[in-house]
Amino acid sequence: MISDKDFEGKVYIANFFFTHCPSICPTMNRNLLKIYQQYKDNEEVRFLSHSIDFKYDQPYVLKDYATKLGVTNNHWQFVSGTKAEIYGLANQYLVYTAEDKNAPGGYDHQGYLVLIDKDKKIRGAYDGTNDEQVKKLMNDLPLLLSEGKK
Amino acid sequence: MRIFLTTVGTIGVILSILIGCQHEVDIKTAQYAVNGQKVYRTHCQNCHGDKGEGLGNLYPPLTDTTFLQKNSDQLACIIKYGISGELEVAGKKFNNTMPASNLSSIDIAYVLTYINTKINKGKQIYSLEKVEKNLKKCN
Repeated sequence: MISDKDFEGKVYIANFFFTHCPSICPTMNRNLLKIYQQYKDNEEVRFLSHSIDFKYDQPYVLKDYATKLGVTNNHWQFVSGTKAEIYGLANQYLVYTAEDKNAPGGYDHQGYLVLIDKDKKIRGAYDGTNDEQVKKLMNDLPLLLSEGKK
Repeated sequence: MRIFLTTVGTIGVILSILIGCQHEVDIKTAQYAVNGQKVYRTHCQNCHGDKGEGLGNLYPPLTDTTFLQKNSDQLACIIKYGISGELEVAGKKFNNTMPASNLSSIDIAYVLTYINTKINKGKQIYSLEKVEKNLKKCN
């Protein structure tokens, strides 16, 4: 079980995906993986991926996905929950998610990487499929980490 | 002298035809590769990456030329109908499902030519004839 406490006082990046998503998710998580590889040993930084496929993405499926993606520690968590929980959360992160039979894989969603500060405020949202935006996130993350340290 | 000139002329004509053909094949290959890039971006790139690098142990890379050569006759079937189960590519084991793309034969020829000549350093076209022949033998 993951709770707010795991992210207390951390800067973290959140996104929404599902494991058998054929469209934007692999690109989004490929980019997030690059940032993770840079920051995985940084105690101030965490990563949180929410699966919007509440039917198929059980914890063991997510665990397997994380391992295969190349996640080697618990600083990047993969979570799921009931439809109401996950889709409600997505709204709080201002990310659009929906079940949609016409979307590839059955779910429609936005590929934002949402940057959250230590006070749990949204500080930025970057299109995880756009290299320029991902670069911007890579520039903004260290700035956010240095905030309040001077 | 006249015979000599005729011979030189004939050889010249044959040579220029040969060079001309050679050139045409290259243009055709290039044209396949350009079209293949569009197909690749739409249908392959999300999982396999823009350089065909794959993603961790989730999606295999497309840069293992030994694998590609060994399975050359299966590639069209894999692209069209998808594949699941264990695969060993570039020394790593993969066990995931690739969905069917249902691409047309010509799009498969385009994209395989793109993978051969742009993702990898090959020079050869993957012909429409080969795609059509192999698609008749899919499991």
